[in-house]
Amino acid sequence: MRMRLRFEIAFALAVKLAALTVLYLLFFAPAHRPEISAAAVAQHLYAAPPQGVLR
Amino acid sequence: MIDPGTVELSRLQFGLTAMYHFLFVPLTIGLSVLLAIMESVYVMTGRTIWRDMTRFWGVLFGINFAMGVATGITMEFQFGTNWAYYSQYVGDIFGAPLAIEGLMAFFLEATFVGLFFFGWDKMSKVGHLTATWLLALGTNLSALWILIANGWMQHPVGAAFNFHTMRMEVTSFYDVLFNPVAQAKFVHTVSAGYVTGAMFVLAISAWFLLRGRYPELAKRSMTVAASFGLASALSVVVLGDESGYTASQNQKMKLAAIEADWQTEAPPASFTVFGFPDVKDRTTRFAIRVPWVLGLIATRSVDEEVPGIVNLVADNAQRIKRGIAAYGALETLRVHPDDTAANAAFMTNERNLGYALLLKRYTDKVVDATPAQIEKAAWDTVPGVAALFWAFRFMVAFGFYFIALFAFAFYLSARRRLDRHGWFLRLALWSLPLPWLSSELGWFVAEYGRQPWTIDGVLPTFLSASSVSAGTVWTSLLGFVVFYSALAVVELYLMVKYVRIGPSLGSSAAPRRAAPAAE
Repeated sequence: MRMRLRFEIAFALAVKLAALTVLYLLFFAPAHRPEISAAAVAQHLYAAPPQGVLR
Repeated sequence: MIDPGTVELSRLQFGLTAMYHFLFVPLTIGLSVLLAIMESVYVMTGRTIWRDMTRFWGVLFGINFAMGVATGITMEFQFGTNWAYYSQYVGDIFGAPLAIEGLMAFFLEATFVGLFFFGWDKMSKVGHLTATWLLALGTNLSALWILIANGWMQHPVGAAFNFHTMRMEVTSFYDVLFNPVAQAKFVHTVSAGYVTGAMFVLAISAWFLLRGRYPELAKRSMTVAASFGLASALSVVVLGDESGYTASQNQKMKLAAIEADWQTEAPPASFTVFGFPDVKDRTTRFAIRVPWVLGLIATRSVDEEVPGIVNLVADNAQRIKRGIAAYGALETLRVHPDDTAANAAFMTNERNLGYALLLKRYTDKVVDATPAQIEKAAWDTVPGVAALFWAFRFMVAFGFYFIALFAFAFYLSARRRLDRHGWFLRLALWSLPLPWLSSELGWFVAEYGRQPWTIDGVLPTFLSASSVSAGTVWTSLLGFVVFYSALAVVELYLMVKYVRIGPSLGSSAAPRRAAPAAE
């Protein structure tokens, strides 16, 4: 039973790791991240208004 | 440019992943301590049934740990991509406890998980027990560091805004660490985890007794769960009261929204047990109130007011005006960093700078905001009253139900009659999902009640999100839903399978079968 459980957990972990890696590469890798600097924050918060959020 | 759809989708994605991750966390926290208690009894008494119990519940702990581990890392993915402005603005502070959690607590936990599972035949009894307690310690420390980070979002202490770097920076790590909101949240959350672990053991043991399987193991497990669960359920309520008190000191609007407390009452304020909050008319219909109770709980006095929503909105309108002064001074300082008058004006009003940012929804010229825009922004500081009102009441009702259930289980255990009442065993079994439900409700109250801020009073949520496209967030959200749904199916499959298989009673003389529990 224990060997079976170890196999099942190891398999689930491997699939999970693969799925997480795919999600990361597709949507969250550095290439998908916006470059944010102090100047960008200043522009975002203290200069031009964010558009399209008026209600 | 920020798309409001992106902001809402990013919130939905973060909320869903956080709530999914928290399906695993409370069971890990609770079961780790229960394992340590069971193994301690084994080491002290030498009775092998306690070792069998530890190993059986350890298998279920292991499944939960393996399925849950790394489900929280997706939230960290999102910080950099969906919440880039947030990460840049407060990352220096918020990132520190997250990093410490990874380096200190998670590594400790992961190391001792390995020793727990593979060390049974390789370590001395006391050595293995030490590893199990350190596993429980690591699990609880993980929660501590995460809640220090979250507590800072609720009550940002020990930090100041640096206009040269356009970031919040730590001024006192001690204050961040011993933030009263974080400490209150930690003990409340961990106690809720203990209740979850205790309910898990109680419910599955009840199932064994209903089927007449492993009665000796099940009754002993129920005894541990009943006593630990009762102590934990009482702690949740007492420590939740501390959380309420810290909210009354630091997040008055959240408290007022939870209570649908529209107008400031003469102290001590009454507590609304039941009612229907009417946001449009700013009143609570069919309210059933208990005099004094809210005042006593929230202020711990009979002569302090609990401010109502309307009054807090008026206060916040004043804070917005002071924030406009800080905003104007900041604009000057960005051009003339040595302007002493602007520096003095900024320092005087810095605490309200975040409130001025609420105006960015309505105007590009914050310093020229009209009274109507200021009033709108002030009303934006009110979170969703009806949802908070009901979520809180259901959470509290579950809390009192857990006390009653564990108290009765404790009574039956003391009378050695745990297997005598089939209705109670079925009730215990059906109660299994409730701790998860109440934990999720608790998180909803904490996080939805923080709106419209990501960092309370400092950074509005709508300015924290990145300028990514809604399509990208939709697609990644879909990916998460598919991934997490599959993971949930695997978790349930493995849990049910290994519960059905039951423990290996290798060396204990306990019978595997008995007559099913009495009806």
